[in-house]
Amino acid sequence: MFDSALAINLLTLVITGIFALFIFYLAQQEFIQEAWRRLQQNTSAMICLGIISLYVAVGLADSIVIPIQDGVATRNLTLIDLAFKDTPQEEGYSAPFAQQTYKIRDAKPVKGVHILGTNVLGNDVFKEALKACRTAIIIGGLTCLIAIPIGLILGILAGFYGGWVDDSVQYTYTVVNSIPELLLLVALLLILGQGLPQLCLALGITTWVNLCRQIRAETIKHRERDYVLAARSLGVPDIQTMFRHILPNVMHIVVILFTLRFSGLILSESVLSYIGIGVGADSASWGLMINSARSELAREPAVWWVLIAASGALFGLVLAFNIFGDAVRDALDPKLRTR
Amino acid sequence: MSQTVLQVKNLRTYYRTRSGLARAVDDLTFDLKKGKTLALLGESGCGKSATALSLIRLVPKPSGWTVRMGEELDGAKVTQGSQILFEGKNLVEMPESELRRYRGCKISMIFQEPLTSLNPVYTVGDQVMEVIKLHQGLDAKAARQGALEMLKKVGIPEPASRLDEYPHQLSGGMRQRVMIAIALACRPDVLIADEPTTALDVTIQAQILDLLKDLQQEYGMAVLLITHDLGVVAQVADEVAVMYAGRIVEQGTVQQIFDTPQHPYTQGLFASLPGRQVRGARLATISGTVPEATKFPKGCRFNTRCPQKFDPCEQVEPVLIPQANGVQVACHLYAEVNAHV
Repeated sequence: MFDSALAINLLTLVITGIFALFIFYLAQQEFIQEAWRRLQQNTSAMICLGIISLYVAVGLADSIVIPIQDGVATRNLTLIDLAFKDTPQEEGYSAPFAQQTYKIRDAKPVKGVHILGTNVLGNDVFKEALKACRTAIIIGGLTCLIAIPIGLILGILAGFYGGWVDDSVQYTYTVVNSIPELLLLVALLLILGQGLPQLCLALGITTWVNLCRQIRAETIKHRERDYVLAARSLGVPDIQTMFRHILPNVMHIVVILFTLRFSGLILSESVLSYIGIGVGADSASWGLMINSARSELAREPAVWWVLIAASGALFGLVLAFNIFGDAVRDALDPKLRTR
Repeated sequence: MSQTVLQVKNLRTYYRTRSGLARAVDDLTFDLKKGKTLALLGESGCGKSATALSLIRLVPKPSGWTVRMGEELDGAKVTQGSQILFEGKNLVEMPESELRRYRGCKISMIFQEPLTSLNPVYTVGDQVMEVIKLHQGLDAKAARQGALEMLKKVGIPEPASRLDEYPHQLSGGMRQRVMIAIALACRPDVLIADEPTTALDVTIQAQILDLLKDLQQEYGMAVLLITHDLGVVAQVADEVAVMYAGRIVEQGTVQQIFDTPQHPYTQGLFASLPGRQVRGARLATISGTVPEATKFPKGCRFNTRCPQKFDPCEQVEPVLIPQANGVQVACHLYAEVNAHV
């Protein structure tokens, strides 16, 4: 029997596991440890890391599914669902901390306290915003998992071998890059269909280019270094030279681009959802919430809290990632490294 | 006469550059003998390092390559290809996959800059173990033991704790010792040392040269020492080949070359050494500069700077001719006996 709760939990576990392994691998390296020590002295970076961790924790909590026996049917609820189990559903919009629903006539009394109000279906907006964390984290994480291997492997191959390998990789990414990104995304989503994994795949296909280009340039720099020549003079095979000797020396580029790109991906999701080709209406996403706010703001009187909640949550994560990304870049900058 | 381990015949390594074909190494022939050191002496840009890289076929592709038999060059077929004979096989014609088993195992190389030649992200132990694992197929534990013994052998104090240190934590001399440990981990038959002491200060230089000499005697290696330093040559070499503009101009034992340099270039080198002059007088120099590898003059390549130039020098390229004392010299001054002038 296919157990959907188990499958969802497994997926979460796998993605988290891959990232944990990646961080573990990085933590082994001397210069990453040094960068980490430098990063710890940067207060704003550490605060941002805390904020990011909070978002990730909420995303993870929303990914752990527990089957709940509810009468005859079994309902799969996440930890976030469980936390809001006692929050009642209202009848339509209600403002934050309002006593009555948001209607000029026939206003109904509100059954519970909603710190960010309720949406058109009467669901708690705070809960919706929290549930959208998972989508954002998955968009950023899964896309990076798709884009990093492609960009890294192609970049190293192109940089190391040069010649026709380099030419074909360069040709490929130049072609991908020459198509306007939004147009390519729309086309890909039309082919792949709508949905979270499809969106990640489409974003992955458009995102690897920049990484590949930078990894290629860095590999060319390292290819000429003495230690690579020394490795080859010792009979180390090409594959081992590339992935054992050069890879760790270009890894800082991945870390920098990853942290800076993550926020861009989350924003892309919101933009795509806003124009209606992002995640499906069944998932929670800040983009979808902002999209719905389009008509809500036109109402008289305007419903403003959905927009504020979604934008605020988005703003917090993106800003934290940007500040953290800049700090990581500074910490890994070879010019600032003291040896 | 000791046994010849590696034979180089007619080695030619060329580079294609923007300004034309650079004949970095042109028709080099020499032997490396078991337990002996041949010093390849020359100034910057004379093709010493290109020779070293050619021996293990690591000349940067695609601009540089070693000329093989049968390939097209200047519109003609090459009839005399380069040969690097080792264990009866020609390394120049060998497929890359087979050659890889020789590199680091039977023919090793150490480089000039010990810091940049070590990978900054791995510990010293990892890097010594890598080559042991690669060529001897040992597991991690045995390889670590092997690495420990090698570090002990190259005279690194507290080898057990040094194993887990990173290259930047070691001094220059220690790093070069590590490089030597890596290069010698598989007891190679041939060691190519490309200016191994240039980046080190003089006291460390002497220690490293002594170490190389001790290990050479223990292992019976043939060493090709590439250097521009006459002092280094005097200290460790048995034979010297003086290189100028991609060719060997004079070759003999250290004693012979140092006592009676015959080629005008070699004479110029020794004359420019400090110490033989009157105090306060200017040092002798060789006038002019080395011609570019793409624009060697016709005839003898030294003719633009030679103080003893005469008629045939601009017409005929001299070849190495054995002299009465056994030294080989490529100079028309010593070739009167031959009829080709």
